[in-house]
Amino acid sequence: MRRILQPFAIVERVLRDRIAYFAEIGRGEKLPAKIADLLAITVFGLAVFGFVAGLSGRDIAQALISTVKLPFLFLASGVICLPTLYYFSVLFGSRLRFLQTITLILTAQTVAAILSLGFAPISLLFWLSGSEPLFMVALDTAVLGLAAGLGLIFLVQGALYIQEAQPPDKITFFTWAWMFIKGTLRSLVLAGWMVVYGLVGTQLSYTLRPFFGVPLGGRDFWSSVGNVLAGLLRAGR
Amino acid sequence: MTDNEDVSQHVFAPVEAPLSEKAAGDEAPPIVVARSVTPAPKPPEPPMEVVATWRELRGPWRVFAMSEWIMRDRVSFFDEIRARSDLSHKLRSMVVSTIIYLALYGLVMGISNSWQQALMSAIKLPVLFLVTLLICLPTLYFFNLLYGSQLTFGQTAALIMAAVTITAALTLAFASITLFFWLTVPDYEFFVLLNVGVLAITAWWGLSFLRQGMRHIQRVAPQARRILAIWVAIYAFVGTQMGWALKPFFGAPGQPFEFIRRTEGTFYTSVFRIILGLLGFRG
Repeated sequence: MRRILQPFAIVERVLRDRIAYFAEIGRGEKLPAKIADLLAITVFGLAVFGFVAGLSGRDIAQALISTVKLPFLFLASGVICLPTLYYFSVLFGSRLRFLQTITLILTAQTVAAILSLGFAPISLLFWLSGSEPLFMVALDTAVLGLAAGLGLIFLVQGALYIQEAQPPDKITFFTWAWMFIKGTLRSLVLAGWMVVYGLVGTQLSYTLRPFFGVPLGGRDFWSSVGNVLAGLLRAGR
Repeated sequence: MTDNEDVSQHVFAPVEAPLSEKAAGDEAPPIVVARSVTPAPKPPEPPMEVVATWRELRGPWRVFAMSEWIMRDRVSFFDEIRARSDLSHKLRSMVVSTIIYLALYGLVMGISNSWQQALMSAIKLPVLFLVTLLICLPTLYFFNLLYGSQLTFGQTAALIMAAVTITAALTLAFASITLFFWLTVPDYEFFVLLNVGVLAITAWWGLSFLRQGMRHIQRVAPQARRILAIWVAIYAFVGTQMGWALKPFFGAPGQPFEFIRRTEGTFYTSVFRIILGLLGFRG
């Protein structure tokens, strides 16, 4: 039991004391072990949420497929965007090493996975209480988007913190903002990278469809989302 | 002068006296000061050793050692070029890594047509960059001399080659994204636009790297800027024609595979002809 729960220790550290965690990454402490733990959590959390999301269409086979597909969606978009983040950070004078970059991206995905894992029971409750499939799709997509966005905040903060030669002990929102402004081009690269990551993620999610077992229509990710919202509006009328 | 000296003595003598009295009277403050000072000058943590990473690269990753070094520790790289230390070795490893990076990207670029086209592009893309450089190098070097630069031929070559290596490495970093978009959005126009966009971005940063290098080695900013502008103009002029001669790089999905398309004329005359055609003249 202890072995199974061991990877969750890292979640606690990330969420409770991210500064100490970032400092550890900055010093390059036990990165392979961290990466293994983060990978385990990401796969587990997203698999559970994928299962719950796949139930929306009342189809157990779809739920099982989504269990596999959702972790793959996140990890694959991370892998696709990894080289760009690494090389452009290095070009603009970042001290990030390759393993550190991997750890940061995985941290972002782990945070996303944990947040959606936490939401899985809520989603399940809505499902059991008989919400219509389109509502479940909208809810789950929103949760995933929000979770991924919050995860990216961790990535940005980690990259900024590791970059500091003498990082401050106490960090407020304004310290983060100042670090971001101070990074100038490097911060812009980070922001631009997040846009690319978002594009790749949404495009990949459209390619790997279906996740929900509900026919959505639409020619790409955004038109599918539009269809869902339009369908909901129509149902609500 | 004497007046001034007198005044200063009169003014400053009474001020100094109480200070020295205070210092002599209290013995505690110096000790307190000493105590508070001793822990303060804690040596700042040494900056993370970045150079170690590219030296640690082993096996196939060794290919990335050169570009890592240039990007991470560019000051020492430029210093070594200025000192002309081991230029031929540097040049060789830059050429090898550029060929590998661009060949890998060429594979992705040609995938829109067929695997033969992919292989062909893998050969053509490095050739495009390196042969253009080779053709331009004498001109670039002589312009450099004309503006009174002290750089030797080897240094000029190493500097420009470093910029090409950076461009190639950044281009390779985009390979996964380009491939992904081709696999998921198989739209030929979008793919060509994406590739051209990637090459434009990476070439821009390669150039800005070259500017940094020129500034660092040349030390004379306005002169360096003028030389750089001329270099870019020549390189772009030749590179465009070279790309025209080596086409196709993409090959539209339906088209049969071609090694080199037989075309007459230059890029510029064909653009001119297109413009004439648009204006209603038939050339």
